[in-house]
Amino acid sequence: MIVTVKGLIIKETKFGEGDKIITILTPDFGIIQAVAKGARSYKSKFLAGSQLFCYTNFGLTKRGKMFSLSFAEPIHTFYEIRKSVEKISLSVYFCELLSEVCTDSHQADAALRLALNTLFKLSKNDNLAQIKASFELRLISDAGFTPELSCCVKCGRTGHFNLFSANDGGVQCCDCCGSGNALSAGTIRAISHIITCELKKVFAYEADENVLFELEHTAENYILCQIGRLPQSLKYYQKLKINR
Amino acid sequence: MDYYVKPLAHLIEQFEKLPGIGHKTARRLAFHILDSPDVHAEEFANALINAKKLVRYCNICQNMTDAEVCLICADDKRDNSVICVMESPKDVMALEKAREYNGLYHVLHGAISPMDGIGPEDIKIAELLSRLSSDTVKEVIMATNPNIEGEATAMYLSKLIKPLGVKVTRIAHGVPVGGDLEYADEITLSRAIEGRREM
Repeated sequence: MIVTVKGLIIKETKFGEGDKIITILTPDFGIIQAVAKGARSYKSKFLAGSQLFCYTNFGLTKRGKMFSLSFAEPIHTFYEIRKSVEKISLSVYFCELLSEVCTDSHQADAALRLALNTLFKLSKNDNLAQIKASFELRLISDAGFTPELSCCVKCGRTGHFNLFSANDGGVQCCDCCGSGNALSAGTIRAISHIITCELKKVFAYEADENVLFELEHTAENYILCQIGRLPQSLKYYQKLKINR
Repeated sequence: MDYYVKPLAHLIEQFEKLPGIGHKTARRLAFHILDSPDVHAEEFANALINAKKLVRYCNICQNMTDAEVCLICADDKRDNSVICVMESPKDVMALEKAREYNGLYHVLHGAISPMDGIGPEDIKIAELLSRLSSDTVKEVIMATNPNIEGEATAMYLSKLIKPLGVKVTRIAHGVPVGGDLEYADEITLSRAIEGRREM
């Protein structure tokens, strides 16, 4: 029986002579894997719809633990991303985060919508720092690791604190200050907006250069503390940034 | 229980390492070698060793050759003002078969791939840039594959080359010759419309 599902391709692995295995983020099944037979051939009917970052309408048939592709109609390919190595490497990083964080199919729908919004924004916009920070913070918040901003994460005292500790997962008061970094009020407001706003408004905020710098570092440190490792794709992106 | 004597098993194992060769095919090839005259087997073994020993990269274009400079780079009739950038020597062979191009080549031996951690320094970009330092080259054609890695490499190189005053072009994307438009996918069609030209 063929199951029809829309999904975003977050990973592709070459397999055999002309096949590939694609990892798809779907709203209903979470992350699944499917074999695309002959997808690397120029004559393949799967060629366009089975490429990385492509949002596709899939026809899938269950084959053991994996699915097999019956048809793949591309809906959106985010073609503009291909025109910049930095944008591609950032998209690969986002996909690696998605496969790390979306372990549960309940989170998949929101994660997919966030990923599509982010890739769309990335294909139209060059403010990579803002896009990266917003995606990281929103993804990890939706996965249940929302940073605490309304009260001290250690003692619970309420107030407007600006010392943020990625390790402890939120702001700290002056008395509890351990490993926290002082953030500007603008950065705290931006974090608050990202984690609480409607999904479609995640990128709808203004940030000056200083706020953006703080936001990028805070978001990156926070997500790395939560997932507990430095993804390879982030290393690659950082290397590209340094070379630039 | 071992079905084959050790040397035969070893030969089958070696054939199995080749791309696209499964156990059955490997076994058939191994038996074919054993059944053929000694001189054929020796020729086959020597061809393998010689190819591995003698084939090297051309000093100019990085294509495969058995001399310092490949036949294409050494050919005076070629237009040395145009360089076509390819990902692999197999791509050069494909374009040569078309007999439409008379310029020179540059083989990158890969493409920039954030997915596989391959950066600009891992492919033959420095060699290409050093070729462009002379004034003879007027145009560079990006003929990398039309996939994510190929597009990224083409864009990266064009950003490096354009400031040098060299014209950078990209091979066209579009519907294949002999195909029906109704079966072409949306991306290919939109690229074909984008890359249309006056008749």
